[in-house]
Amino acid sequence: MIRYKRARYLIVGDRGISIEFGNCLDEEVNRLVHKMNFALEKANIFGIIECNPTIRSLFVYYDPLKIEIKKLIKELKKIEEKMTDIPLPEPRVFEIPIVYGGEYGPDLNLVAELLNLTPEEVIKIHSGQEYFIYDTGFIGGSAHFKVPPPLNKLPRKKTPNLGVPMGAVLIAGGLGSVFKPLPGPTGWYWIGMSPLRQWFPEKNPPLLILPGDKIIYRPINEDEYKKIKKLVEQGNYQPKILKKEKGD
Amino acid sequence: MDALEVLQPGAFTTIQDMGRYGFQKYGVSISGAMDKFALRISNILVGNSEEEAAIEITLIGPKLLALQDLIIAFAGADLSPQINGHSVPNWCSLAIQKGDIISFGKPKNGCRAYIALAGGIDFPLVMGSRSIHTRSQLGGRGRALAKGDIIKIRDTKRGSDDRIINRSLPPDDIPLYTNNCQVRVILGPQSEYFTRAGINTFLNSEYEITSHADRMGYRLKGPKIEHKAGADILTDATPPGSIQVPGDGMPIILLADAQTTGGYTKIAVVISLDQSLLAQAKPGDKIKFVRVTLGEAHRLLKEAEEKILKIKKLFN
Repeated sequence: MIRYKRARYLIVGDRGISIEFGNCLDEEVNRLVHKMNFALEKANIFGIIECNPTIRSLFVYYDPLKIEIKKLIKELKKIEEKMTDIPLPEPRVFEIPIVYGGEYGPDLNLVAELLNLTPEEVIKIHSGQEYFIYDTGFIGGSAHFKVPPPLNKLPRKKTPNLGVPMGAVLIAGGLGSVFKPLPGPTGWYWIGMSPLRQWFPEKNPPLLILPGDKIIYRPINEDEYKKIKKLVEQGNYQPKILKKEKGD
Repeated sequence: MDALEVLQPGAFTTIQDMGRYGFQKYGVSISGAMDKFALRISNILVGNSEEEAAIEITLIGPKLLALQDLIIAFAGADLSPQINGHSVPNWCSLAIQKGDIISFGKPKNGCRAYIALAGGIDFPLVMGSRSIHTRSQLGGRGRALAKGDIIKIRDTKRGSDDRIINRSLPPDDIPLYTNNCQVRVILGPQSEYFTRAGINTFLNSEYEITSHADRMGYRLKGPKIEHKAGADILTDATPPGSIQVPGDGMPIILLADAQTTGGYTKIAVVISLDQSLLAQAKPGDKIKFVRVTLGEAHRLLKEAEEKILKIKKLFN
């Protein structure tokens, strides 16, 4: 797990390049990814279709009929050299209500067993600190953060599970998914449920939580879950933003 | 203007165009037609812009009632298209009349067929695309077409333009769909996570498409592909065509509805041209992977574009 001295340019099929800034969950590496993304949005290079910033790399999707690959890489490297002074937006800190275990998190006991902890200890660790959001991906903008030890020891499942509901809180492979924006398959462990909504396709941006934001979990009981869930469904719930921090 | 009413929806019938771009950073899949070649040809045959949305049909076709005189074209898989119970040719435009019924018989070859409507489908643009993506409930009603749905056309004048009737794709240009397909791939971005033996297994074995195969991706089965250490990477982008290999060593090919990020090692990516070919493969079909360089892939893509341009000129 390292931060590279120089970004790596990886070929991803015949329409993609992945600019990798490191191979680690590191906030500085992630900031480079987002700076490069903003720099490319500004540069508006002919032939680039879109960019997808991820945890440690920026995926550049291009049209090879419009720009020649060697020329594209040259342009990208030029921008990479002078992107350091790009400002990033101010982070917000969201409070995420969560019910742990039982039918709300069927894998909680298994996770505790695998890590040699009690379920209560898993909950205490998971909800005990603020997390920085590295990316929004998968389907519907799943927001990801770095989980603290020993939760980071948990690998992904060997065969993906074919379906978890919207709101499922997941961990695996050193990462947490704040909660699943839409129902769908996952290879991660399902430990809780949040009643909040992340996915707002009618809005731009279509997501509540964005990369660079922070979150902290607040354990709640089933009753409160149901109450918040109802308000969310009616569109009457204002997610709690704890404080605003200064951007860099 | 109302064009078609869905009498029976078929197995999985959606509206698809060239895809939804610019929102992958928010976790929005590109989606769009699984077989872009067939989509573009179907539109060219009815005189549309090739990027127009069309109806995408999966193996078992729908039954549709024409609510207007229309000009339509079938392309892609040959699912035995019929008008009022009589067979009509695939890869061909034809005029149908109000009250006619479009239906399908036995699937002959391929997996996904397209129906383009002259004048284009009138469907709301969501994030710049008309494509239905069921997993994120985007496009139309966010679900596959259902009984009673009405499909409208945008440009009503095109439906009676005689010049676009009975156009057919030259036989030499019709792709051949078989149960054994060769798919060209570019190794990487994580081929270094596999042993030499693992890469050899991947490139020299036959894989079968399992029943877990849909617009998001196909799970394959065959000889296990060996990793050096583990199958997990730090989550990164997973564009359509990515071939992920999770810990069980069985490849998963991501397609049009690919999720935007994923954390399994990607041994290779299918070149964009051959993703159209994969769209026509179905569970039980066999796949062999053939390695090409990036330069070759770009040359093949240019040749394919020139071919489409030539087809377009035929009808101008």
